[in-house]
Amino acid sequence: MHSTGYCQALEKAAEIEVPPRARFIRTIILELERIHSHLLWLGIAGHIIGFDTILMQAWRIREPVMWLAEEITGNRKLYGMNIVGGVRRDIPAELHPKILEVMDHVEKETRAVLNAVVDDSTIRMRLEGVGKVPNEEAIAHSILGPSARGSGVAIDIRADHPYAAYAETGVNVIVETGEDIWARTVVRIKETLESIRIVRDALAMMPRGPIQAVIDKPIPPGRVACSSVEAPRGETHHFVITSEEPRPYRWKARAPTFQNLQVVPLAILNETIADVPITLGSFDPCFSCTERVEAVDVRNGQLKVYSKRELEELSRALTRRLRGR
Amino acid sequence: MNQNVILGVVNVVLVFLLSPLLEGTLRKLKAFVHSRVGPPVYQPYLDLLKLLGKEEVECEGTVLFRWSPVVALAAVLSVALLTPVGLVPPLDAAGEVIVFVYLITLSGVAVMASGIGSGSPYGIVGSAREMMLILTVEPVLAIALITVAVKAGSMKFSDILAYQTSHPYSLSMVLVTFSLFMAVLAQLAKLPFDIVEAETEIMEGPFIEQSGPRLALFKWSFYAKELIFASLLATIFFPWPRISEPVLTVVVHLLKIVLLLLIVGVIDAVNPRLRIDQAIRFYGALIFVAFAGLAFAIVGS
Repeated sequence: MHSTGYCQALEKAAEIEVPPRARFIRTIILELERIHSHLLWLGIAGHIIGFDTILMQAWRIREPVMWLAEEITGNRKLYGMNIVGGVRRDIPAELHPKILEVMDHVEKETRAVLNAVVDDSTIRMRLEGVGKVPNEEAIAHSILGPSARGSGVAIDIRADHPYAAYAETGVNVIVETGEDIWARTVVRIKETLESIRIVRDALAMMPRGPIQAVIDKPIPPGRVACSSVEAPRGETHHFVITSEEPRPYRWKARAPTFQNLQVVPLAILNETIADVPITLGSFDPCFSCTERVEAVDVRNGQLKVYSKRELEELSRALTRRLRGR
Repeated sequence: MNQNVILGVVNVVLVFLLSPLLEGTLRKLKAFVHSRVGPPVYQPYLDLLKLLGKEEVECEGTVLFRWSPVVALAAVLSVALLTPVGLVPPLDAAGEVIVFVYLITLSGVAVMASGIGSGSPYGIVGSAREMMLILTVEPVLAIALITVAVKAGSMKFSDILAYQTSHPYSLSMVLVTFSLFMAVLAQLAKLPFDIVEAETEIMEGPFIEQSGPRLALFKWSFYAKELIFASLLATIFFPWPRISEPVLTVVVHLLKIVLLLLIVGVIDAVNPRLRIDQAIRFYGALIFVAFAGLAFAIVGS
């Protein structure tokens, strides 16, 4: 997903035309990633509210998707599929029946989970009306992805600014208006089903042809480009400035978690301790994506934000101390 | 009397030694619902042995923290002296029902003391939850037991048992059996009432600082509680089938215990955890069901 964002930014900067087949392969890989990411989230959400059966079943359903990804790309996660100008591997025709079979299987089981969750009154007691993010607050805090769509904000980069092959496959943006954890849950489960639909359609529409563009001249330096990708957690932006060397002069990625976390204090306001973990979890946070560590001195209320360099220094000092022992 | 003492000791030893096996069976069941293989049924024994062999880690704990596991296990094992596991209640004395309720409450209080004694904020939240649960669950338990006592006209488990095996099941029994079963879910800290420990919320709450042998004692007291409550339900609240053959009775009794715990296990596997306020509202309503049972018992139906 990030590699797609980066490659698209560079392709835009260097004006490289990506072959259609490569765009379709990118779409399929992106959607497989969304399917397994949402199922992973569902499992963790179940675990947080003590429902370990959901955790085990969701991850069992997810596993064939990982195997499929491994068969297509060689990796279960971090596929290494994208290169500037196309993709590294083709999806051969022999694999199509296998992909469709896994999609059928995952769809059937995801629907079963959806029905089980919808009918479970105890789950709804825990999730409905909890962790509310009103529509106007969601817009004011610019929260992204399924978290925003659960509050009735119909934003989705795939539909708003189509990339890869989303213009061809089309995307039905799933929006729920519940504004609570339950709405965010339903959005993610329904999106999983929509992703399965997109994989099927992309597979059927995939044209023949090369999977990599021919790049015959060097990428011109000083070009600026930005590209956006709808990650499972929300939109991700990549900003690139090219240089004379074979690497970017500047590169900045913005993941959605930091944005989504801004609304958490509001969502947990006046809630009980028991609701805090699931409320935080309902935004599908990726803490390593927030690249910021804040320390509050409780004695005098002083706030200190650690920079990357300071954190590195702290880690090195710790290592030195441990070695010295 | 002498025979009773021997029976009592046998009872306690049986509860002590067999309860981890039941826990192991429950874990297997949970694994089945999860589509997992699960640990072998003897895993709880290994867990307990491992914990017992570890060094004791002290926190800034007080006397409460250090002695609460001992009190918890002692209370539960004393309950094993009173509860009929198998044929007859071992120690047969007047007012057993009241002692039963007291001792079970004591084991809950020990959990609370452990959390308060640990000084950890998570422990204190857990203890507060335990206190709220005790306050709403104990009355249900007490009313259910008093109802059967009223019906039998005695506070002795042997009299109650004799009454239950010779009289037909009544409306009041249906009501109190349902309430007691629900109360047992909270007593055993099973989902949806696994609120005191709530691993993902307050990290095992009262047990957060407990480790090694002390944690083993707590765990063992919970396993023993499972067996005792299942046994109580099986003998007094589900008295069928009524068999006079002693050996067959024991076999049937054990089957009933396993069956009851399987039901508890399935409920545990298919429910998320409730919030404490939701649980209290539930038990608050359940107290009225239990009271209705008691009222029916008093008017004689």
